[in-house]
Amino acid sequence: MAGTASPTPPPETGTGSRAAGWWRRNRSQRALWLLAVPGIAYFAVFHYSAFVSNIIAFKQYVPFEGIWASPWAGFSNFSRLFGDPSFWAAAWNTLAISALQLVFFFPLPIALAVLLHSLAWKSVRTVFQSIIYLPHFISWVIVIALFQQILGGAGLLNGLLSDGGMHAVNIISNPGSFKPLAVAEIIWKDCGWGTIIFLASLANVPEQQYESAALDGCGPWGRFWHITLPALRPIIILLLIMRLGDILSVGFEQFLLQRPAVGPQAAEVLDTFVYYRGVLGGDWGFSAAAGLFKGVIGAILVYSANKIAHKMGEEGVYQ
Amino acid sequence: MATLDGFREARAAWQEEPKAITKIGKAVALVVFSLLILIPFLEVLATSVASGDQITKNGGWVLWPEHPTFGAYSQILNGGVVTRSILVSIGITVVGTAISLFGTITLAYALGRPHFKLRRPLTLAVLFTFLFPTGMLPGYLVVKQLGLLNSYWSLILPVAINVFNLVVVRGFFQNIPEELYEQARIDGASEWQQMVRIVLPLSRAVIAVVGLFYAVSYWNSFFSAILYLNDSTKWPVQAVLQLYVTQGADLSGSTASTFSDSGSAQALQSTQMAVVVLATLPVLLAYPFVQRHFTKGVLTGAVKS
Amino acid sequence: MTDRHHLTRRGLLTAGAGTAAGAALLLTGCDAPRAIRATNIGKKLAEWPDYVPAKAPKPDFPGNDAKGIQSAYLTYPTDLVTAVPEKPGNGETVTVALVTNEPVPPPLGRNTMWRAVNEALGVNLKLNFIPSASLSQKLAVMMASGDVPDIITCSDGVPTFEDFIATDLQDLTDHLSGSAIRDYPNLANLPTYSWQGVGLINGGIYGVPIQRPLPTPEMICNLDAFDKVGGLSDWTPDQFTQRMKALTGKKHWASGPVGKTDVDRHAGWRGAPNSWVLDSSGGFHPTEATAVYKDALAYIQKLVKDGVFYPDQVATPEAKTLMYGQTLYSMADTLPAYATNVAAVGSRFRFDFGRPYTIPGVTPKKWDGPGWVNYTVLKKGTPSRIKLMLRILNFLASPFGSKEYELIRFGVEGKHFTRDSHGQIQLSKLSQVENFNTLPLQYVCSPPLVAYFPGQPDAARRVWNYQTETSKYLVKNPSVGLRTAAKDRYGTVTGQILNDAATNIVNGRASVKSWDDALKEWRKQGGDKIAASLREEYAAVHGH
Repeated sequence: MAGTASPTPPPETGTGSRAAGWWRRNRSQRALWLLAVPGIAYFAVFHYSAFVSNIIAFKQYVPFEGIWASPWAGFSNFSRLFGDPSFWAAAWNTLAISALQLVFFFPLPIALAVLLHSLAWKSVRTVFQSIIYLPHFISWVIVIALFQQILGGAGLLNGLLSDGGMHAVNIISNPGSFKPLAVAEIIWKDCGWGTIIFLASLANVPEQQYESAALDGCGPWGRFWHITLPALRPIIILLLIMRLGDILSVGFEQFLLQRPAVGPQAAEVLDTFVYYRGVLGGDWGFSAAAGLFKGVIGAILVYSANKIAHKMGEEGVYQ
Repeated sequence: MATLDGFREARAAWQEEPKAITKIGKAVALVVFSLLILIPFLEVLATSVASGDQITKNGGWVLWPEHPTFGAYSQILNGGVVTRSILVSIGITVVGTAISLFGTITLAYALGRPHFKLRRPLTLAVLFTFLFPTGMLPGYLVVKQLGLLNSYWSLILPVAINVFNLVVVRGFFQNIPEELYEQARIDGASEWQQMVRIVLPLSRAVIAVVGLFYAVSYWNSFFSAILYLNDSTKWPVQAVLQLYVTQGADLSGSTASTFSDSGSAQALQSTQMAVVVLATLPVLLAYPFVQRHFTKGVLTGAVKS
Repeated sequence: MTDRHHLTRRGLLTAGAGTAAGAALLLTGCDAPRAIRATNIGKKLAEWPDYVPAKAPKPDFPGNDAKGIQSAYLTYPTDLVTAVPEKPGNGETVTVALVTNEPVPPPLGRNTMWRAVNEALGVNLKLNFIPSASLSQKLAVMMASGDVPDIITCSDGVPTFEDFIATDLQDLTDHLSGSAIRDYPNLANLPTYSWQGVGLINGGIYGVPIQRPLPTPEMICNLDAFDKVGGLSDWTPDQFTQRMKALTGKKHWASGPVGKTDVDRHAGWRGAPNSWVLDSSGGFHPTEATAVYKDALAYIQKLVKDGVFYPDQVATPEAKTLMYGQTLYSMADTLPAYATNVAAVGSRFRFDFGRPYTIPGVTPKKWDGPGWVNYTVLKKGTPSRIKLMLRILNFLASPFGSKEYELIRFGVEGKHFTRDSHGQIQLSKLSQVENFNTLPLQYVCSPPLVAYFPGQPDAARRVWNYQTETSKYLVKNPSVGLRTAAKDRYGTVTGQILNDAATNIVNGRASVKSWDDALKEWRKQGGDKIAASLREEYAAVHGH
């Protein structure tokens, strides 16, 4: 059913008189506008009224002078940002972790959802479903402590290795293995939680589709390719576009907490960089500049990804 | 399906028996993944009921409590602060989720209708806020100007609509075949009626999921309460419990911690784990009811694509 | 990705916080431009408050407030004094924003201790609890919105907060400077080093310090373990290494996780000045740039290689648990942490502090802390209102061994505690919920800390001995009490640069040589500006 949604306006129906058609269209526009009003009001009040503050990215902002009285700084906040090698190192780390997340984390909830969906044994499926989402509710502090307890220098694994007379392996505090570790942590924490949205998509697939495909001689793989995957396609593309828009955020607490163990070379991401360089020192203009940079990159990626989605005949996040 | 059927494999007549290797593969994958989750979780549970001595002896974590005690739980629930805050949290979660769902569904519906003239500009305007989120201080000042400080509304209204959820709901709405709308229009249904009669019944799954996302985020949020509510008797449970978890912990290991004094009493690992259990429990209890809605096919029979 | 809700909350604190401040003034309307930066340069400086020891039961080992040695009591005094003869208030309502490390207590209606304190103070205390982890955010919104309670517990580390204090909060100079403080005898009992540590703002006294003993942080040790390998004093660096190695074994480590504080402590033992080198012309240079500091880095790097430090990064509470379980035999912690430790392990083993090692021809230095943990500032008000606030603080600062202290610390006799036949305090079950940690008025104002550990007189003796023995090594940090715009702006950033580099080096991720690059980066990112600003500010305050 995925490809069937049609973006064309509804055809003129009804009795055919132009005036009546116009009135009806207008009534429908008015109704849609009314439906949109609460939501739009929310964004106007809580988001747009605050957005203007981003102007400080172009100012040398001193809170006690006020936003207008603070002297203009042109692009100096940006040039300081872009001229800082640590910024590029952090951006690079962020992109690398984002890429690893996209390749290794992003597909997993989909696979897991498909796997759960394929289980014929309903009660087993319910039990598994109820287990796998649990870690989402554990805070990062505790997730990291749990990982450390198993893989850390004083952890279970190294305890076993040293009992067996073998060399200790350094996973937790090894900068080289940090990025895969970070991805493993997020897989553990959020993979199960991530399945929920795909399960909802699969719930919308009529059982008859599978049945008639099977009767037409389509095997389990064929049904997966021709029914399951197309059903998931729109939501996958939607989530992918949204993820791209947020590509320069990979999480904050997870990295802030592990930064001391592996050092900034491995664990400094943009958000922690901005925290240490901008937020803590009250360098508001600098932080705002970094925020704008992230948003602009996100906007470019959303725009491009959305274009590609349209080319592929998908709706994307906007039309 | 009768409940009893759930306890055996219920394979439809058209489904072929999978190969043994497929079955084993699936079973192994699921069991391994579940164990990777369950064992740490049992550890959390065991530590929450372990005695202080055993925790000290084990260096923090316990896999099997030797002398189980509910001391940590009674310590937390003692005094009635947590009990009250749970009621607050339930109220916030229920009211907040209802408001969020209303705002999200109505806006998603409008933005999902292809003939809505403002669809594109409004969608872009909404996406813009996703790319450029509101900071803490501007957010605070908006709440203050609206007179919402120290009011429960400050925990709900500023986060009423989440762009991600909005986009997901709209995506699902857009996948409802246009013919159904058309049918309704011919029958003279208004936009509101189309939404209520056609779209909502067909979108139970996504509404359940997004409702769950909203409910969980209301349930888990604590920082807005600490920021906006000076009166701690109004705090929801996560704000109260947060203090059991962060006690004395210097999160960042940075030189910038503004306040450090280890002179006060130290949190026991068992208390921290009991907090995890207490905070997860309500979600655990509510989850099966929500899960029903997104695992059952709803479009069955309604549409022929 | 469905985790978006979660991230949004964090987003507020991180990247979002950057976009934050601007709208502050934008939304509150058109404040007149206030280009005010707090500085003591060119200001008339207030005289420090007189120091007048308060009347209190005689300690078993008297302290020395000039040297920063705590008074020690082996047992709880039985001859309690009355520190505040008159009720401070007369039914007024007073709002307090107070920082807490503990779960919030039951509300006033169901809280006997809170009610008893209100009754004794004669006021209705409205308490806004601020979890310590959120203190800087709460202070930031206070600053931006101007919503200020009567009494605020605050701390440094929020940029431009001192400017806010100078413009919007109460100057206490007339009430506290010189002999004026004698109206508040318990505040006059606060040692001068604490007042100096909080410092002057625009030449005036604004903050009332919450005193802490001077030396910090310490190497807190399991004395029994160290005794088996030769003790924790009278050692050279080589002997130190030897003993640490001897204490390290399978699943046991001689020390908690390594950090820059370890390097700092060892640098001090090797004679490096406290934080800054003050040259004869009044110039400031980072102690990190001394050759001795580099020696300390190399030494600690070697110790880490030897495996004596716990291999994983754990927060202080977890390290404490490991210490109590004797997985670790030493860790860095503050002096007040000793009290919790002693109470937690009871008679299982003894705690003591590592003494500086000796290098021929070198006098070790023990670095002083600032002498306070946080400080309290007041909303602007009429003189009579301010006097009321100060009377409240004076009450809360009642010394150990007074009835007022007993109420704030232990609660109400018969409800929160009983007295045994020797007059010693026995805490009741109610005190698990209602105590000085859940009702942390100790962070609003408190008397100087004393060494008293219920049932463990030896513990008090040990900590007093340690302080007395090492007080001759204490050296001040010349920058304490000085606030400058540059320190405000670049302090945390540059501090983090050195912290990161030191952590990298000691963990073997970088060579000791790379320290020079870190120092260069430190200069580039504002270190030089901090040094220059401190020089001027120091000259203004201390004269040169």
